[in-house]
Amino acid sequence: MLYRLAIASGLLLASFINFIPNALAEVKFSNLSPGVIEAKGVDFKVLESVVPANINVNVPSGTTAQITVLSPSFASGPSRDPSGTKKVGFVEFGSNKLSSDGNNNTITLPAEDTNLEVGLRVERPVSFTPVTYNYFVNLSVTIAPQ
Amino acid sequence: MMFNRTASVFCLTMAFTGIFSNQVTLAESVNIQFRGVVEPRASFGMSTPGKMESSFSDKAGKGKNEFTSITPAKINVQTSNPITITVSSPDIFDIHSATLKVNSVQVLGNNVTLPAGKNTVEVDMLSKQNRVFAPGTYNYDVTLTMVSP
Repeated sequence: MLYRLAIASGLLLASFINFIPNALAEVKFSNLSPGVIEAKGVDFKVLESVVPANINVNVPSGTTAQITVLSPSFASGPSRDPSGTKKVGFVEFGSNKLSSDGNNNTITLPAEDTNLEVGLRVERPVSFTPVTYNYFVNLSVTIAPQ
Repeated sequence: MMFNRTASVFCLTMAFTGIFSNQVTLAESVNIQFRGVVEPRASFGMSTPGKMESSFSDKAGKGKNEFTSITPAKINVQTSNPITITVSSPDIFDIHSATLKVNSVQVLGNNVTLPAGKNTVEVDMLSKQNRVFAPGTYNYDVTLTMVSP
């Protein structure tokens, strides 16, 4: 009887061990370098990235991953985004281009490492007053076992 | 009997694990930072030349020419910070003056502080000379200078 119990326990444990790698598999982000934004246009109403941000994303093998880029968010600066501000976040890798303002804001990521280039564009109805602005673009990655 | 129970538990566990494994999705998100400095800037846009008309008067045998603008010169000034703009006198002699209008408001004096944003500056000029101009076309320049106050 003890023998049977041991076999059953072993199998039970094996089933959990089999499950654990999928459940604990995580997307890893690394080598993040922030982007640089600059005011454009004669009327200073557009702020857009002139140096893209870079980040490496690692998708565990055996999983399917989808990445979604969200609209940029104001972090700090002399004035907040007024009503009517248009904000778009971009992501590029290989020949793939994502944009937060359209239907193509989500795409499947390949397994293993992918370097992403991230950009943004913020257009206000009024001019940006001088000094320093900080924005961020949120990337969301969901993974599921294949 | 005991083995059957254990097998049942095991099968249920496998089934649960299988269902759960197929449904689990994990979401990770990261914020990508961007930073930039908007430098103070000011620039002149394209200018539209003004137009002048001459008139002649002769009092007591002293001929006199007068030029007055019938259409002001216009220029757009874009600035991120308030700036002071100064108008020079036209490069001529005798009695002359140039005046400014900013966003259709007449400016008293030869300088004014422009608010941040886009401004339309109009320049009018007047010239009086105590001599008679020879017929022909005359051109005058007026210089606008902007400085940070």
